[in-house]
Amino acid sequence: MVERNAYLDGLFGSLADPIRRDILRRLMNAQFTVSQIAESYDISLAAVAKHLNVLEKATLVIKQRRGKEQVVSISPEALKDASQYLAQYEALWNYRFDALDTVLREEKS
Amino acid sequence: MSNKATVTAKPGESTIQIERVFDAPREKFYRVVTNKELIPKWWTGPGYDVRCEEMDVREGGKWRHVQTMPDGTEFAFFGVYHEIAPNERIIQSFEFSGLPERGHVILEKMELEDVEGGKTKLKVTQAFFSAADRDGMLQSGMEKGLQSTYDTLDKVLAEEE
Repeated sequence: MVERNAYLDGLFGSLADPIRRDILRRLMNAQFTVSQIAESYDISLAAVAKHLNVLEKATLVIKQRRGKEQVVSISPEALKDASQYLAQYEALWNYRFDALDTVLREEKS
Repeated sequence: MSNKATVTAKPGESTIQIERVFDAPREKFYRVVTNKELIPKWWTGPGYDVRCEEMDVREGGKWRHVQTMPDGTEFAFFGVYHEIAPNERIIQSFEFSGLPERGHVILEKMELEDVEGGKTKLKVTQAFFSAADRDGMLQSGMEKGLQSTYDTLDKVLAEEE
């Protein structure tokens, strides 16, 4: 069995769909109604709604009814995961830099 | 006491910034990080070894570091030096051999600044072609087995399509 590689998954995996990735990117910065999101793409409202359903099922976005409209926002879980990626990458660099500190101490000035 | 690196990656953008202060003057810091013999001692990570196969620190020169994972798998990180300004700045390309296709190259800029008390601030900027490439790189640091958003999405997609 081939070992799954998180890096490859990220690059070529599930968020490969450009529209879903783009919707998620927009929601990182603001909330939008379903129709506002639909206006940005050359696909039907129904197709956009389908993408949003997928993202909602994956717990990446949350939909809330506000009056006649549904407002879509990024889910805390998605943001938590994003910050986890960053924390792991930060941990790798701290590991390297701590090793570099040791090397610097050992080397003559 | 050890300093802590700050890593910044704004949502939707395609760069990563890494900053850290080291307790060594710029000249010494530069000499150490450009020393081929010292790469295995620090350009590493938890649970794997690194060897430096090539490190020709001059403009147009190549670099290549190889990671050996505990199961014997090897991955190479490699690139070409674009600009070498000793003690000040290095700009280099950066690519990872473990991808199924070429073309996901990073441009990496390393800048050094004096900090009071004979210290040096290192600023690294990594520029990716896209936010997708960048987020993939961030995920490479994920611990194995961590249930990721993308795994969850995979499952949903498998059910949907």
